[in-house]
Amino acid sequence: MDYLLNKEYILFLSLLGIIIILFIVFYLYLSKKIKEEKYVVLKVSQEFEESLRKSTEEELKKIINDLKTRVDNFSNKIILKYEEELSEFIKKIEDEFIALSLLSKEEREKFLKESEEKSKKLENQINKEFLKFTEINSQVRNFAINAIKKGVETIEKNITMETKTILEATNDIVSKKIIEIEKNIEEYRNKKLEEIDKKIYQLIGRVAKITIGHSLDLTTQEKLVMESLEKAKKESFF
Amino acid sequence: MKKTEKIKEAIKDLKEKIITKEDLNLTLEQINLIEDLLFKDVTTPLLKKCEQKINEDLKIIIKIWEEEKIIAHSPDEQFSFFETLKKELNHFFLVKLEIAFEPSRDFLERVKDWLKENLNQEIILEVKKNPQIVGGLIIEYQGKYLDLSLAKKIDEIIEQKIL
Repeated sequence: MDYLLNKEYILFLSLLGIIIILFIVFYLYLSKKIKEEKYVVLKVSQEFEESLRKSTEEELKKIINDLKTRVDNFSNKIILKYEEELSEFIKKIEDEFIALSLLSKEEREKFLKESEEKSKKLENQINKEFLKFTEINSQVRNFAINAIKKGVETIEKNITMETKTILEATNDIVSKKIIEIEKNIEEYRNKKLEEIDKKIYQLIGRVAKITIGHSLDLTTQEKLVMESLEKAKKESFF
Repeated sequence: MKKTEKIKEAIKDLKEKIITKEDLNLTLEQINLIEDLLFKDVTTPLLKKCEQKINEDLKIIIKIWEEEKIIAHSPDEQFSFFETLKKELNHFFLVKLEIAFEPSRDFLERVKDWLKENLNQEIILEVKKNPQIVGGLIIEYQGKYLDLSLAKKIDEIIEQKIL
């Protein structure tokens, strides 16, 4: 009985093991597939982006061409329309001129008189307008001059202030520089004076040696040697 | 006075006459010359043999030594005497002096006497003349050096002034 139980138990464990292994294999297969799909989706999206860009460019080109054509057409129509109107106008003037030439002398004089009056009126009006224009022009001119004056004054003020600030800053820098240079000059002067002093003393030393050397007679020289020996003895040299 | 004492006294006298290193070198050279003549013409007295080759001072000394029989007649004994003399002459203590002038012989003797008295040693001098030291001296003795020149004093004064 126990033996049978053991056998069933082993069988159960084996089946459980096989199921677990199958499950792992299935999981691995599934994860691999997901990865591949992801790659495919990414590739598809890149291709789609590329094609979308191309088609957009093409569409834009078409729209631009279409617009160009429309504008050309429109301008051509306008030009044609104006050409027609112009020719009509010229024709009208020509007709008027012919009609005018056909008028009688009285009518022509009347017409001229009317024309003169009209032209005088027009002249008066033009004069008035001109005066107005002159006045406005003068006002504008004054306004502009004033504005320019103000602007110039403001700029001048600003420039003065800026110049003052710059001058102050420059003065400050220059003063500092001058102090620094004066200090350097002083140091250099002292150094040079020290060097000169040193040279002078060295020269004095050399001259003193020569002068003293020449001035010492033999007796004094001998005396100095003997004194030096005594000094050496005092200093415990021997 | 015994002969050995006489020899000692004679060597002492000669040593006193040697003041400078040059004196010593000259004396040693002349002793070598005398030694070369010792075994030639043995019957002729020593002074006669070497009188043409040695200086007057040494001639006088040898004359005295011969008269007082400090120098023996046999060449071997004479050779032995001069060898002893050479050994003794190598026992001087050297004192180097640098001075600004050309010293007289008398002055060098005075200096030597002073040093002998104060050092209590047989000394010889090596004197160098150097006018650049102005005055005083620079002394070297047994590896010691002392500058007591006027040039150094002037330099010290100038140095103090500069500092």
